[in-house]
Amino acid sequence: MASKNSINKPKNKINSASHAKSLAKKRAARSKILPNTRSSIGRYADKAVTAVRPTDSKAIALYTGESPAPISKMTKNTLSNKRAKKIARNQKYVDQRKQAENKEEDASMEIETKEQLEERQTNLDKVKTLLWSVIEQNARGEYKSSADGEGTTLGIQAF
Amino acid sequence: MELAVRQEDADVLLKEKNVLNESVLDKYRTGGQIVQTGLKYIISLINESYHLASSNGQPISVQELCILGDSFLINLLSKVYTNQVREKGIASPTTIEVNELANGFSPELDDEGSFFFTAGDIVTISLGVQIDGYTSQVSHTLVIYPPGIEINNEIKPEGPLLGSKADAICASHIATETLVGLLGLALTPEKLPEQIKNEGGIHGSTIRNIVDSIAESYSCIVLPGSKVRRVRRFLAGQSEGIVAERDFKGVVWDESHQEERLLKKAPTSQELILADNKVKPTSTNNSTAIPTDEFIVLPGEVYQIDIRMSSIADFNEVGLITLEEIDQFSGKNNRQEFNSKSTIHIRDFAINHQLKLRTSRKLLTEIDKNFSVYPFKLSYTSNHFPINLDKDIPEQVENIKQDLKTFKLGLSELNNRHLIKSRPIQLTKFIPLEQILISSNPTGKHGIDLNKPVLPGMEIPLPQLGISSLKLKSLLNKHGKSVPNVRESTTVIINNVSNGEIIRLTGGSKSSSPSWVHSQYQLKGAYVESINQIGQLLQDKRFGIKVKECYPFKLNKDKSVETMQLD
Repeated sequence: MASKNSINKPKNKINSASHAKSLAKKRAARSKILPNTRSSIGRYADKAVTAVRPTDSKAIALYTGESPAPISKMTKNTLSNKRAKKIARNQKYVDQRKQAENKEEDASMEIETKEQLEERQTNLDKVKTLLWSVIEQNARGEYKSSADGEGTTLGIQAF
Repeated sequence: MELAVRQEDADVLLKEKNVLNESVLDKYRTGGQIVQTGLKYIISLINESYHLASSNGQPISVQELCILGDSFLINLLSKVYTNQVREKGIASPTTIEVNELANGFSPELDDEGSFFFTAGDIVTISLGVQIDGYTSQVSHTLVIYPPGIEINNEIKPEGPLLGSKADAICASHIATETLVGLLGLALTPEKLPEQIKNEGGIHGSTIRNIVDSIAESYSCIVLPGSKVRRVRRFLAGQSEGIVAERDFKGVVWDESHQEERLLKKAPTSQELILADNKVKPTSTNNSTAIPTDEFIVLPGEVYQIDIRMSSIADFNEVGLITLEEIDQFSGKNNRQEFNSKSTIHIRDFAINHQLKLRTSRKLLTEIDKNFSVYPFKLSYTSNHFPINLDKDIPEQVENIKQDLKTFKLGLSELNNRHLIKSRPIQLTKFIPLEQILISSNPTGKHGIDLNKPVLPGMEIPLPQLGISSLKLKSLLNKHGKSVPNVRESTTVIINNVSNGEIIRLTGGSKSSSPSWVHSQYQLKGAYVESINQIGQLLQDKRFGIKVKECYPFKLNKDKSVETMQLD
C-alpha cells in the first residue's frame, strides 16, 4: 500500500470511491423516507402498491422483476459432501417407505387386462411379440417346407 | 460434398450421353464381349486346373486366377477403341469368392497364404469392363466337382451337386433368367402375363415380389446387397456406399426386407406395425439417392441384374442372413477365423489433401490418371502389369510382387487421408432371430457402421427392431454362422433403337451356363404361372421375347494350356 505522501498514490480512485459511497448513503436514506412510486417497484412485485387494473396479467408464473427475498440468516456451516449424500439417501428411504405404505392400501387393485397391456406396449414390444410367435411356430414345425415333386435339375453332365 | 457442375453440362453427361444410339450400343457390346471372354477364360482355367488336370502339380490359386483374369481383360481392351475413347478399363476387378465369401475377395499376389478350392465348393467369379464409361459386369457361380469319370472319352462329373448349395444355385439362376425376360417385356407390354399386366406395368415391386417368391420356393433368402438397378454412363454401382448416386433407380434388398418378411409370417394381424414402417426420409437434399420400389422399367434403359441367394434349409431355427465385413485384424484371434486384407480400392474425388510421401503422391497421380471413378487393385499400378500370357509367367508374377512393395506405403497414406476407400471383404452370415430378440439394446438404433457400404436410407439394418449395424455386427461376432452364397449377375440393354430386342451383354448360355445341380424343391408360390409364362416366351424365338446375347471371342486353346504351367 502506498503511504499517505506517496507520489503514485491512486488519488483519483480513492476520491471517486468515497464520493460514490457518500452518494449511495444519501440515496439509501432518501429512499427510506420517500414512499414507493409507481415505477420504483415492479407492477407485479409482491410489494407492489399499485392498484390492480383490469388489464393486468393473471398468469401464475410471471416475471416480477424482483430478485428473490434475501435470506436473513447468515451461516458459516457448510454442508459436507458426505452429509449431503446421507441426506439424499435417507430421503430416498423415506420416499420408498411412503410408497410401500400407499401400495398396501391399494392391495385390492385390479390385475391389468390384456387390452390394457396391449395399450401400454410400444411398437417395439409388438414387433418383438410377433417375432417370438414366429419362432414358436417354427419350433412347432409349421414353416417346414418339404421336398416336392421331382425337384429341379439345372445344367448338363459336364464341367 | 457436392461438386459444382453447370446444369447444361450435367444434362449432357447424365441425359444425352445415356440415350442409346449405334455408337453407344457398340461400346456396350464390345465391353460385353470382352467380359464374356474373360469369364470364359477364367472358367476354362479353373476347369483345366481342378477338373481335367491329372492329380500331380499344384492347381492355380485364387491370387493367380485374379491377376490372370485382369491381365486377360486388359490385353483384350488394348485392342479395341484405341485412341477413340478417353477412358476404358476394368470396371470391377476380378473377384473369386468361395462359399461364404460374398464380396470384394480378390487377394493380391503377396497375400499371406494361397487360396485353393476343394471339391464341393461353389465359386463365384465376378468381373466387369467399361469402355467410355459404358459398363458391363458379370457374376457367375460354378461348382467344383470331385474328380470326374470318363464317359465317351470325355471326363465328366459323376453326379450333380445336391443340398442347400444346389437350392441356392437353382433359385438364383431362375430368378436371373426370369428377370431378363421380364425386363425384355418392357418393350412389348402386350405380352406381359395377366397377373403382372393387372399390376400396370413392370414396377420395382413386381421385380421384388417375383424374386422373393422364387427364393421362398427354394427356401432361400435374397441376400442384402442384391439389386436390380439402372446403369448409366460411369454410374454402374461401383462406388456404392462411398458416393451417393442421384436419381438412383432400382430395387435393392437388405436386412429390413427379411425383417418385414418374418413379420408377415406372424400369425396375428400386424397391419398396425407395418403401416408406420413406411416412414422414410423424403425431403432430404439428395432424396432421389434413396432407393424405392416406386418406379417403372422403361425401354431404352440399361439394367444390371445382380441376385445373390443363400439357402436357409440347413437351419432349423428362424433367422436372418446378413453380411459381415472382415478386416485384417478381426480374424486374428484364438478362433483362427478367415482373414484377409481388402485389396480393392476406389478413389474418392470429393477429398483433396497435400500428401507427405513422394511415393503416395506418385501413386495418387497414377490412380487419378488411369482408374478414374472405377475401383482398382494395387497390382494394376505395377509396371509389369498386365501379364503377357505368351511370356514366362512366374517371372512376371515375381516382378509384380516386387512392385507391390514400393507402393504399399503410399497406399496406406492415401487410405489414412481418405483419398481412397477400400472395399471391404464380406462374409455371408446366418444369425438366429432368437439371439437378436434376447439381446439387450439400450442405445436403440443409434450408431452407424461406417465401414459397411450401404446405400443411403439403408443405414439401419433392422428398423422395426431398432437394431443398428454396429449392434448387429457385435451379435454376429458371437452367434453368426457362415452360409455359402450364390451370385448371378448380368447386364442387359432394353434396346429400343433397332427392331426392339433385349441385348444381354453378359452371362447367359454363351458364357455362364449353370453347373450340374439338382434341388429337391420346385417352383411354387403366387407368381409361378407368370414365371413359367416368361420362361416360355424366352424359348419362343418367333413370337416371344427377343434376347440377343453377346458372343465371347474365340479362346486360343494353347494360351490357357500354357498358363497351366504356372509354378
